[in-house]
Amino acid sequence: MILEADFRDRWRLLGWLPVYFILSHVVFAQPVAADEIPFQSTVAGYYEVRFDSQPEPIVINQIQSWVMYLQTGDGLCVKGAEITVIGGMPEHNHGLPTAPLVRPGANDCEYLVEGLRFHMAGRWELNFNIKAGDKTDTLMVSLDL
Amino acid sequence: MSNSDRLIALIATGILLSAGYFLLNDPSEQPWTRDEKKTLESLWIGNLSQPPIDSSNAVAANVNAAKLGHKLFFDPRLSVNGQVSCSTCHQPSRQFSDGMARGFAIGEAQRNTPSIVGSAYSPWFYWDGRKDSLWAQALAPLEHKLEHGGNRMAYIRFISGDEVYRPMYQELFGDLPDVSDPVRFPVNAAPGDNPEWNKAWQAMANEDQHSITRAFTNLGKCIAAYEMLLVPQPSRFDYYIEAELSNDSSKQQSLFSPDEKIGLRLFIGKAGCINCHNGPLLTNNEFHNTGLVNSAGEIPDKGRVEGERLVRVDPFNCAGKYSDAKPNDCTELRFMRSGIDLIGAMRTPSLRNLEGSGPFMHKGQVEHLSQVLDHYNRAPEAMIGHNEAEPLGLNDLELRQLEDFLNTLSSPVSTAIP
Repeated sequence: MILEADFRDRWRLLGWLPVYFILSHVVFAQPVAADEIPFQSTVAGYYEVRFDSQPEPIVINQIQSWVMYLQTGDGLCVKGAEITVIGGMPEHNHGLPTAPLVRPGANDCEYLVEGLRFHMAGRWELNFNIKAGDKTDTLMVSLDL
Repeated sequence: MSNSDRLIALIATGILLSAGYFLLNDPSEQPWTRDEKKTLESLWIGNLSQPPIDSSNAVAANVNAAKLGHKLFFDPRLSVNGQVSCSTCHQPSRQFSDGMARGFAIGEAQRNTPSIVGSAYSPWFYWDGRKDSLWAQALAPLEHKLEHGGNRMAYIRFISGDEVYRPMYQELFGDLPDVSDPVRFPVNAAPGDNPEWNKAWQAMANEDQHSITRAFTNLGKCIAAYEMLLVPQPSRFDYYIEAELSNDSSKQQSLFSPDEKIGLRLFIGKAGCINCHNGPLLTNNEFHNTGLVNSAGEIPDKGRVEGERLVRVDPFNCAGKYSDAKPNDCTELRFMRSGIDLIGAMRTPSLRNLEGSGPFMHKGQVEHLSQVLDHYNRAPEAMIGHNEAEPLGLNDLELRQLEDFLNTLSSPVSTAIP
């Protein structure tokens, strides 16, 4: 009897699955907030970087700007950094179709990566060079569009 | 069962298995995968959004500007000999191109006449992108000695004296410059390579030069407002995609032959055409060196590397004083790149409406579409710079199937004036 009751309970639980499925999509499938996207460490580990792209998802053939958040490994904002970016498609042996620039953004920690455009689907690589004070480091961002 | 019966059964089974194998692997029978469907949808004309806002042209979306531009586009009086209009080379019956290797108006142009259908979506104009707006592009032929061959002073004098054009212009932009004083405003004057007109232009006061040039650029902005309305209508390819998206396989079969379907599969796959010919207009509007041989006896065309230099110093560019944009609006110009890989690079044309629009390429040096495909299949060394393309390794049948597919992209052009 105990076993039968156990099974019945389990079947009842299974009956809740559609409700759970709907709730999980409503509750858990909300867009991830920008500050929940993990930071990436630069090659030498001096900095941590996170990006918000605009538009999201990234589209091809449209000039766009990204916000770049820059902090130290200890989570402190990095101000006044000089940042350059180059990139391209290694498989096609060509660079970006534009010459993007990075400048300080509206808030501490923020920088604006302007003038990005991707003109083909496929794998793109962006290489950031970040210099703040006496510490220079690099970051490679790989995108599959 | 006798041995001969067994042998017959074995052969029959083999035939059935082989037939099944070939049927399952027939590329024209294979359904599109989820990823392929997504790719096909990205090419569908239904995904063509409104043209990007041209912030350098305040009347780009103005109906009255388009109406004036429409009249100007077809008016041969806007030329030195009264015989050349924009439509001399951009002919509506030929997809707004001219069917010749190189354009011919007053004289023969240096390059092939590109279609202007869908050009509102491009950030760059001409094969080398030496103009960054439709209006700046529209002005150049008006003063080119081999095209309309006229000058801005004469054009403004003509508009001022015309009973139809003058009120249309004034409604949009206010008063035209008062050109009644022949000392201040000569009959013919313009900066450029005509010594007499240039001398007259240089003798004019700066503010008079400015007012004439301002009015001249307003004409270009009206022509651009009209040209922005020229967009392709759905082609047979688009109806095929619609049928695919609604899972209507019988309609698909009535729209596309097996060869056309295989050609489409090659286009988005093995042939890699979609790398550059992407989006609903099948162009990324970027610049690529694809190793095209120049016409015999001619110096190879420098392409984008020269266009990039010219657009930076163009007084009619987005950042110039005749532009209506704020400096920060000119993103394409601000973030324009340079580099040796732009040597010999030309702008990717749309692949819509290729049928009847040849000869092809920037010099019209390739007469037939099959020859274009053969060129990309071989990917020869570039005369200058570096050919980005790699040989495709397609066989003759595949090349023909690819061509069959490209011919499904023909459609009427919307030319409606609101």
